[in-house]
Amino acid sequence: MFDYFANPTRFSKIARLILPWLEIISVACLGYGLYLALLSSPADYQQGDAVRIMYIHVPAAWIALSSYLLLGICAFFFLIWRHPLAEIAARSIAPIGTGFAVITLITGSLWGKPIWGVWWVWDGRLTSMLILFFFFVGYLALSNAFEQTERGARPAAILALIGCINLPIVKFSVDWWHTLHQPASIMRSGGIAIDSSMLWPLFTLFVAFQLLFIVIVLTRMLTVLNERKLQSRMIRS
Amino acid sequence: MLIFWHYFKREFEISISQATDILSQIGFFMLIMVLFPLALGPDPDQLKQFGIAIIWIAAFVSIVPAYERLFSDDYTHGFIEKALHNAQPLGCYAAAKCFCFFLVTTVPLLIILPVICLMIGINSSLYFEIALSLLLGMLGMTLLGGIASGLVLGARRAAILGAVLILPLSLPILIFGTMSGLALMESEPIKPHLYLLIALDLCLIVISIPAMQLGLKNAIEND
Amino acid sequence: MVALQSIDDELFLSKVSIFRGHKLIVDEISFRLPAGGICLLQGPNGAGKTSLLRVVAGFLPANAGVLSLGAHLFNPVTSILPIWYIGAPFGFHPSLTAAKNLSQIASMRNLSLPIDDSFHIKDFADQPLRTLSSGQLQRLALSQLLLRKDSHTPDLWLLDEPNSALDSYHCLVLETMIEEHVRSGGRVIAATHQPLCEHLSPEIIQLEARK
Repeated sequence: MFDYFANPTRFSKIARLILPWLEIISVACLGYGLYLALLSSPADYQQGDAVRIMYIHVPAAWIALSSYLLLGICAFFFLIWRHPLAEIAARSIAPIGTGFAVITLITGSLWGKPIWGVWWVWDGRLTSMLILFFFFVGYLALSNAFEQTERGARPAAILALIGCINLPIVKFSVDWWHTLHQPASIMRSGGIAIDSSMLWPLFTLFVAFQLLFIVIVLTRMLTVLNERKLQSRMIRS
Repeated sequence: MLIFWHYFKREFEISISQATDILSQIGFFMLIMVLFPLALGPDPDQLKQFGIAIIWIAAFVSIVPAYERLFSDDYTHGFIEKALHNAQPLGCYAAAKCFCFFLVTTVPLLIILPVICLMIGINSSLYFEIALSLLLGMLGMTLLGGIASGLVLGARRAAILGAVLILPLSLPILIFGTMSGLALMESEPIKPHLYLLIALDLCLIVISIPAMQLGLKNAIEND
Repeated sequence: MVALQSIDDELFLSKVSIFRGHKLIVDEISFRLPAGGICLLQGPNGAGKTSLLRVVAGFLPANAGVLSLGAHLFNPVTSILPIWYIGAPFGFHPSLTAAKNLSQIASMRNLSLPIDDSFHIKDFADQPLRTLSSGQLQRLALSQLLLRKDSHTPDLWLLDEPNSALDSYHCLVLETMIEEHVRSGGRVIAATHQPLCEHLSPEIIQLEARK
C-alpha cells in the first residue's frame, strides 16, 4: 500500500484532492468541539470551569506523543525501505509535534494553577512530556544542523528510532522516580473520573486535533514537494 | 574478533598520548563538584543529603562535552574509511572505541571518588556501591555518547548538538543511578537499582552498535 | 553451480554516474580493469576523480551504474578483493608517531612490516605525525602498500594524486612499486595530474569538470 504512494506526483494529486475536504471537516469538528468544551459541557463540581482546559490538554498530549511515534515509523520506512516520501513526511511532522508538545505543557501549566495553586509540578506525566519536548528539540536541531539539509535526514531518522525505543524506558523511569520520591502524593493530574457528558467533547476534540494535524502535515509535505520540483527545474535550466 | 583488541590498543595509545585531556576531564569534574557547596552553602548535612546526586550530575556534565571527540578525530583524518576496508564491520571499531573511552574516562573518576566522598561527607564504607553504580551509569552514557557522536559528524556546532542529543536520552540512567544513591543513604537494598542499570546497559549495547555503524557509514558517504 | 567470484576476474565499471547533492559530477563512465591492469583518471580539479575513486573504494554509493567483478556484483566493502585506498586525508592519527601508525595499520590487516624501507620512513619514523611535511606524509601513506602478506594477493590499489608531493626520487620508487604490483597480477586505479607509469601503457580515462 505504501508503495502506491511512493510516487510523489501521485501522492501530490491525491493529497490535493482530499485536502479541501479534510480542511472543512477538521474546522467543523474543531468548532463544534470547542463549543461543546468551552460552552455547552458542564463545569466540574470540584474544579469549576478550569476543567475545560483538559479538553485541549489531553488531545494535544495525545497528538504530541503519537506524532513522535509517527516520526519513528517514518524514520523506519526511510532507513530500511528508503521510501522517498518518508523523509519529507518526517520533516513535516517534527515541528508540528513540537508545537503540540508545547501546547500540552502550557495548557498543563494553566490547568495546574487553579487546581494545585502552582504553575508547575514535577509529576510523572508533565515531566515525561517535558522530556518528549526535548526529544523533539534534539530531532529538529539535528535535522537542521548540516549545511545541506538532506544530509541531516539520515542522522535525524536514526535519532528518531533511538528516541522511540527509549521512550518507554524514559516513561518507566520517570514514573518510578515520581512514585519513589513522593510516596504520599495526592496530586493526580487529570485523574478525575470522566463523566459521559465530558466524554463527547473530549472525543470530538481528539478527532478535530488529529484531522488538523493531518491537514497541516499534508500541506507542509505538498509545499516541500513543490519546493523540490522548483529547485530541480532551476538546476536543469 | 582479534581486530577489536587492535582497535582498542590503538585507541588506548592515542589516549595515552593525549593524557593531559584526561587530567582536564578530572579537573572539570572537580570544579563542577565545587560549584555545589559554593552555591548551596557549606551545611554538611545538606551536602550529605544531596551528595550522591551531585556526584552523578557532575560526572554527567563533565563527560558530555567529551563525547563529541569520540569519532570526530578519526573522521577528519580519514581513519573510518580505513576501518571500513578491514574485514570486520564498523560496529567492531565503534564498540572498541567506546569501551576504551569508557575505561579512560571512568577509571580516573573512580580513583578520585574517595576524595570526593570525603569532601561531601559521605561515609567511606559506601564507596564500593557508589563506584559500582557510577561504573554502570558511565557505561550507558558512553554508549549514548557514541551514538550521538556518530550522528553529529560533520554538523555545525557539533559539541553543543551532541549534548542536546545525549542528555534527554540519558535521563533514565541519571534517575536509576541517583535512586541507587538514595537507597544507599537510607540503608535500603541497592541491588534492584543495579539490576535496572545493568538491564539498561544491555539494552543500550544492543541498540548502540548498529546505530553507531549506521551513523559512521552515513558520515563517510556524505563527506 | 554458480561460479565463485574469483580475484582474477575483470573489474568492470558500467555507466557509473555520481551526484553530489544535486550536482552531477561523473556522467556515465565505463571502463574495464583486468588483473594486472592500470587505469589513470585524468582531468581538472572538480572533475570527479576523487569521487570516482571513492565509489570504487566503497565509501560512496554510485547513483547510477554497476560495478562488477567478473560475473558478480562488486561490493568493495565485503568483496574478497583486498582494497587499499591511498588518498588525503591518509587515515593516520596526528598524535602518534609515524612508526606507530604504520604498525597499527599492519596489525589491523594482519600484515607484517616491510623488509625494505623503499620510501625511507626510518628518517622520520619516531616523530609525531603532526610535525611531518606533506611529502613525508605521502611517503608514509604509500609505504602501506609495501606491507607484506604471507601469500601474495593481487590487491586493488586506489591512489588519489599519489605523486603530488613526492620528489623525483620517490616518484621513481612509486613507479617501480606500481610496475612490480601489476606484473604480479594486482590492479591500480590512480587519479593524477602528472604523468605516471607511461611506459606501462595505462588506460586513460578523461573526466571533465561539469558546470
